[in-house]
Amino acid sequence: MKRTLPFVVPTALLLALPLLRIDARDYVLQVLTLLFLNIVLAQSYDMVGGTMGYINLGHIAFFGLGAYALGILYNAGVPFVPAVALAVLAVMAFAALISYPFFRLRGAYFALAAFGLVKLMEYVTINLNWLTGGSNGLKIDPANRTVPMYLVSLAVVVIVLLASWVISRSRLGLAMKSIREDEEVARDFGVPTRLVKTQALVVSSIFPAVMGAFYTWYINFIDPGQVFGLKIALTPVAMAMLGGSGLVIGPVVGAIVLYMAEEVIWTQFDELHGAMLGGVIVVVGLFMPGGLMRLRPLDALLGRLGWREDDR
Amino acid sequence: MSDPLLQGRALVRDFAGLRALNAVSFEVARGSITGIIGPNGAGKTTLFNAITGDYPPTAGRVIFDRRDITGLAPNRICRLGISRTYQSVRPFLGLSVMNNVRIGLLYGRREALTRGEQEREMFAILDFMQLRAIADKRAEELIPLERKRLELARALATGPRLVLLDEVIAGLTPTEILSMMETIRAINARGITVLLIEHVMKAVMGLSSEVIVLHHGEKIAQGDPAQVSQDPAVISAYLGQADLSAGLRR
Amino acid sequence: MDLAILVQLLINGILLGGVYAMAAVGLSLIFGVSGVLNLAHGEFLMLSGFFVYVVYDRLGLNPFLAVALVAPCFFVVGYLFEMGLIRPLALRKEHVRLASATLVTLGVALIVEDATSFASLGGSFEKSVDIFVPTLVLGTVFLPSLKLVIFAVVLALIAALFLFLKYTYIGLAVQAVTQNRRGAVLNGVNTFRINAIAFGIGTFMAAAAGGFEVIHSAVAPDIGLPLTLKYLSIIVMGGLGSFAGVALGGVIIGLGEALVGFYNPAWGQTVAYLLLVAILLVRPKGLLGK
Repeated sequence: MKRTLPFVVPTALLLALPLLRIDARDYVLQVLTLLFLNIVLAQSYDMVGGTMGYINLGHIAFFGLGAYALGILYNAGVPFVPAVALAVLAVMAFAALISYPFFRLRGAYFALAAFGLVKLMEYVTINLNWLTGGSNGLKIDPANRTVPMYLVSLAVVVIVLLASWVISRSRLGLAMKSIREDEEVARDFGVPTRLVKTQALVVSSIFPAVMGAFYTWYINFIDPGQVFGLKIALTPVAMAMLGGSGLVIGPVVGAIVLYMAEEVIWTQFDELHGAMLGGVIVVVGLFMPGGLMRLRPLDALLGRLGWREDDR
Repeated sequence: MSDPLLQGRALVRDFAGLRALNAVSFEVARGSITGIIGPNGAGKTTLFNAITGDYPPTAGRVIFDRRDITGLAPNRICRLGISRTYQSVRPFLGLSVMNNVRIGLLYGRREALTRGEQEREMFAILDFMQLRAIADKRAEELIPLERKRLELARALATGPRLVLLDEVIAGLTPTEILSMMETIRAINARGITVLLIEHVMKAVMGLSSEVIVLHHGEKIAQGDPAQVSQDPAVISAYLGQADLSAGLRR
Repeated sequence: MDLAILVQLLINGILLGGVYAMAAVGLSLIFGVSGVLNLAHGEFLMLSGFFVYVVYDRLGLNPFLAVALVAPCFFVVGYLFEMGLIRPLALRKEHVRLASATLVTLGVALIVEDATSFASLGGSFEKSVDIFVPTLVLGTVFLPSLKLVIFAVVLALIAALFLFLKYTYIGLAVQAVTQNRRGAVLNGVNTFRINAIAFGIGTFMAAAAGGFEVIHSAVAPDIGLPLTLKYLSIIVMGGLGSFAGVALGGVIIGLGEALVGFYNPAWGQTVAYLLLVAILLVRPKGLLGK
């Protein structure tokens, strides 16, 4: 009970938020929806990036693909729910397909190739004009979906957090961690590394795919630069590392902190937002290799809540 | 030797033009403790890597329990019953001692264990390797001797029929050496065949019933310790390495 | 296809690939020695382009002279960058170090881009140099002499780097560290200093490329990250530790972009990444990687 309370109470409060009758309600919901999107991306990135130690700079490709797949299917007349399901399945299949060539690469090579994939996706969507609308983007029937999108995002946040927690304590999660620590040794001790890596990538692709599909539905319009941008690709990575990559609690904390920092920077300063964000990221990289949640006081707090993980 | 557990047939391993193993054939008897000795660069660790599949042999066959395992992936070879330790220890540093052992239990075995069996087996191994008191620590918090014991524990967790021990004695104090030798005998007494690389001659000679000598990637002798230490080829291979040849003669 | 057009495209591609190759070789040197994915590489290139433009614009200097003046300063920039921001990460565990370095260089990239765009009155402002050099005509093939000059200088710089690596003590130390860091340490090589020097040289190569970029086309604050990505693709394609591979990768991409771009400019930009993925499928360690 004590362990679940800090998780259940905020969730319940957030769930009740749309009932609020104030003028700024929709604005608040929109801000939180974007935060939820960031949490989902950071948290699911970290399944491969943190738990398994493969820095997947191409994670956003799953988001963009999900977004485009839904837009295309929906515009082709597929009803919404099956369209989401199909979009997510397509992304999972894509993840399984690329895992074979990409996971033959190690360390920095993998990070690079995955990063290149994002750029490749961007250009391919620009070039496949007939399918994607090219650089003009893709529209679906416009509607205000603020409240349903808010609730869906909240639900996905809860699911991704639970999934991270379950995975980190599972057989698969242990294999992923062993790959992070020393892939050759893991293989010597029976871990079928190739299979585990594929499974991890496919699982981690589900969440951005779902969010991508709902994102198109919510925002009504997407274009290649928006969903395959390099900075969108890197922000969830920075968030996970800020909070504490490899810890279940890390990415979500990092996402909240960095998102709030961005909001403050945007509202308090007129210029140089990117530079300030860059400064924050440099400081994290230099002085907090383990991220916020591995700092002593916060680690102690986790211990008191009973949330500290054995492997960290 | 009739029906050996492990057999190498004319094993060759090349690294970028360098022949690290040259037509090495050998046999390891079931239930034995077999030692591998040889000067630095003789190809001892390469031989281990060829057996475990980490660096599969360029030519030749590895036969384990009458089955050809040449070219199988390391994870499959592990499941067939061969596990190992490393010359410079490689525990999963960020994982707890328990999870280090758990990897072998969950993935290294042929049959799946029930949860209860897993826990029982794990604590039996932790007790055996005197790691129970530090079971919750992460491997990076352990002192070197504990790390060595953790490597052995992890190797045992896969339920092996053969363990390859790569210099587990090197770097220990005399007292620790004696206790490690006891441990190795105890592992062997459980019916696990042991193949070990060692530089500490007294230990190899004391433990092994059979010794294989490698030199420049070739096997120059195999036999019981007393016989091997009298072998002229072996003595000349160690010439100039005073401490080792002294160890041999002792 | 008309043979003359083909020849023309090949020439354009090779000339383009030369500049790619130079910047990529610089990045490869850094990556090889330090193991760091320097996401700020393209930013230094862009920044140098801006300085070259400023020197040319304000002082009225010949742009090539401006490059000769600006690029060496970036050796110092790279050296200090390593000392201040990369060296403190040296003792971390391998995957932690990779992650930290990715963050630090990404942060620096964001800072440089934003600061440059701030200082240059808005992000989309492109800077380019006006310089007129007659084009040579050989039969039906046009040789843009400006690009030829640049190509010659690029070749000279790559050759100089190659000789430096092969025949000087520091160059040999750089190679030793690339191949085996621990072995190099055991043989008395000061790897910190070698890291810093590699960053210095690599950044210098990028800066020179940035200068040429502004001479033959243009630079804008937001070209940094995409360029870094392109160079990274070239390196992965060519294979770590193989400068010949990287140079080859640069030329392949230049050629690919020129040939494909002739038919469809948008697909031309895609070539680098398509080739990257295709080559990795066949050879996971790159074309000439071991």
